[in-house]
Amino acid sequence: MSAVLLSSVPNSLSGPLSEMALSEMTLARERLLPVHQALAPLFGLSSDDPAPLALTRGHTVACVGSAAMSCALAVLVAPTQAGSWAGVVGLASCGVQAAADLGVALERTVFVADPTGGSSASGQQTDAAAVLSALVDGVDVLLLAQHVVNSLSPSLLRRLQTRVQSRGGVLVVVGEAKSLTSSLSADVRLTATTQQWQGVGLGYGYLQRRQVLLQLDGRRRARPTEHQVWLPDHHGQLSPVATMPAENTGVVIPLRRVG
Amino acid sequence: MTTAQPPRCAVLHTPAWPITAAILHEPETFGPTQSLAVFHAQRVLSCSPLAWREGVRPGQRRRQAQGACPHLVIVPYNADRDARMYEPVVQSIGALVPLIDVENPGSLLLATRGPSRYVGGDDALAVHLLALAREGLSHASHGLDVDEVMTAGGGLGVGIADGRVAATLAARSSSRRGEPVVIQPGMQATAEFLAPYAVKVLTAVAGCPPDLVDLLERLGLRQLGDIARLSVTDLVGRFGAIGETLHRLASGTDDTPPSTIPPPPDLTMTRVFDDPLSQLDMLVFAAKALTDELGGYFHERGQVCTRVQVEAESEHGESSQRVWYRAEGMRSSTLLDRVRWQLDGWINGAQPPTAGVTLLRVTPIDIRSDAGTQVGFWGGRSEADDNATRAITRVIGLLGPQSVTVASWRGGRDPREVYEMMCYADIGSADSGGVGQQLVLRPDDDAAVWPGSLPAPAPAVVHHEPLLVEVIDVHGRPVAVNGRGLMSATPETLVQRGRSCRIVAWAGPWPVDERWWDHRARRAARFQLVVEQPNGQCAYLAEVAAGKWWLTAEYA
Repeated sequence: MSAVLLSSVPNSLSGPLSEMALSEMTLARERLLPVHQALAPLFGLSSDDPAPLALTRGHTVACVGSAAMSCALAVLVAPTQAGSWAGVVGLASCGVQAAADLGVALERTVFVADPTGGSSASGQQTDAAAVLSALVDGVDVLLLAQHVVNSLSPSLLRRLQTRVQSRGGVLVVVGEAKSLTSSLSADVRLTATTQQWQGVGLGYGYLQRRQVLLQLDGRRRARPTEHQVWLPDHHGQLSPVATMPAENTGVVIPLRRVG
Repeated sequence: MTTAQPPRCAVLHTPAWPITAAILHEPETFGPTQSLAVFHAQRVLSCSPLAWREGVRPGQRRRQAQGACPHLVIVPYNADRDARMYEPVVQSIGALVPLIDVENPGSLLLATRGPSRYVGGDDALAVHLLALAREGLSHASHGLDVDEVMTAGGGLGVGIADGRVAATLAARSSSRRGEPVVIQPGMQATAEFLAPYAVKVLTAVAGCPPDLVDLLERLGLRQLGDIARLSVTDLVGRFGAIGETLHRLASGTDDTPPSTIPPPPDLTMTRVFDDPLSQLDMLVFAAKALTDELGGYFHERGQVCTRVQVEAESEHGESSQRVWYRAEGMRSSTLLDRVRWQLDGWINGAQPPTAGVTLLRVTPIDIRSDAGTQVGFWGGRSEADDNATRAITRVIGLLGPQSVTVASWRGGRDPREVYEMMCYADIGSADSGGVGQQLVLRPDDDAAVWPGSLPAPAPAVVHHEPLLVEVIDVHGRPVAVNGRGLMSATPETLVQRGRSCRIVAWAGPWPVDERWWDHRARRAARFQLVVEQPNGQCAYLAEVAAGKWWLTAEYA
């Protein structure tokens, strides 16, 4: 799906050599999948673009931290809206409503039961390998639970990642930083840390929005980037934290509990 | 203008068939000697002659009917029961006449040309039809007196006349008189028979709108003869196209033929194994013969099957039954895939049969002509959709049909209930790309908010099996919520698997009292808790039920 074969070749270029050259040509945007607008600054892109192309096909993205699940769902939003399919494997506890609120296109999202069945018997392993490779062939974004990844043998995991690279999908793994298997070599690591929940007090209010610090680092990246977002905001969606202009920032009077 | 000769029809009619069906179905509850009435939407649908004599009339409100006849026995309305109990009559008559048009349970229509010649005239046919209907009923009556049952249903009438309307009216008058009514053929005789009938009957026998009938009456056209006397031109001038129809109905020249289509062929393919088979490969091989035959049948006729029921039964009587759907249609190989998935899921699943499989049945349910699938140019199905569909099909083959699900919005208070997970195998993918079109993916924008549901944002992790935790107050005592939704103390600490975290913010209790009317009743109080953990704040949705705290969702 990544290679673009141009059918109308100018006459001067026709010939076996030029055809070979053309068949291997790939447009840069063919190699990329979009991300949510609010995530663009993380990848060093402008947030004015409605669908910034930032996710490289073939990469493995590890979402870790205390807001890992929301973060992983936020990664699914833009690709599924752009027509890609997503497979969610082994995450029976995934909050579907939260995903829908974030903007994940549920009509192109399938939820697959844990193929490892929670055990690591050799018979199950071949099954898991067949299931995952079948999914890699069909969907662009594959969201895997940490326990699915951890139950795969290192060689199987490497084969899976190679297959993802050759098929041009993106593997998203959601889990905790310290318990994620060391054999997983993530190209991009997204750490989502909850800064603060807003809207709820001591016995009043309700959860309204959460400020999350997103940190992105990985191989081939000079230095980690950081970005503050609301994940989720008032409407359950992902939005950037508006940085107030300097002249407007005054003295903040802390709220005091009364009654 | 030439008018075609209306086809000669016979109608077999029972005025209050729902009553008869109820007596036949539940003879111990309803008897022919009771005053019975069937109600639908709080109005009398039909009533037995006994009830009629007391003053009960179809169309009355329940209260009026009970006022007229205090000992009126109310029969629940059940269209399925009516149709099912009518089936013996249809089958019995089907022995003589293969093409029958069952207008509704209690009334059937047939073309008499062939049968009349066969039994020797219309009069003989009428007698014959009555005898056949009685014979069919006696099979179903479980020892009840057929005459009594029939009288309770208003009698059994047979009418033979030219055209559907005249035959139906003849049958109605026959059920009142108790003998067959045969109108001589010819336009003159039919028109004479119809002329004295009130215009109102057109609503019942020809489906005329009641307001049109009302208008006709106010114009002074009270009988069908009045309409027939007018010229067609005048009627069309006054009423438009329906004027012509009215004239045809009233003058007895209605030439609509009985819509008797041959019964659909029985495509159920059954295979019974004398030696029970327990190996999947052998079963699939046996199923291949069935699906190949079905596929060949469809192929010859240019059809595809979109919905199929697959049924397997083991020697010990366990069975696996499932309906499969595929919008693009199924041919032999895709049919066989479905059979294999189902058998695989059953035999290698959580509840495998304890004995070999003895019966395999494949029943096509929806069949349509094979119009092919048009690949969309802009929008519509894309390559990604096809790839995904193929991949999902492969995964279903490996893990079984239950393993791949898609979400469908259902609504509810609890985050666990808002979306329902449905098997992809039941839904298939839509022509426009994406999963099946009948799925509701999100609520309508103007849909009312579920009372008692939590406002956005929704939790990103939902524990379908809640985690048991403890919530304690400053003094280390568990926090309790009483029946009135009052808390014993302020929650201070959340203890989860032996680890305790400080609660920095909380909200609640929000009582939930669901489904108190049946066994699924659930009473709980919900809380949102924000706790301090080493890696930052964590927010939970907690529930107190029967003195225990559960974490039902996490805002991860």
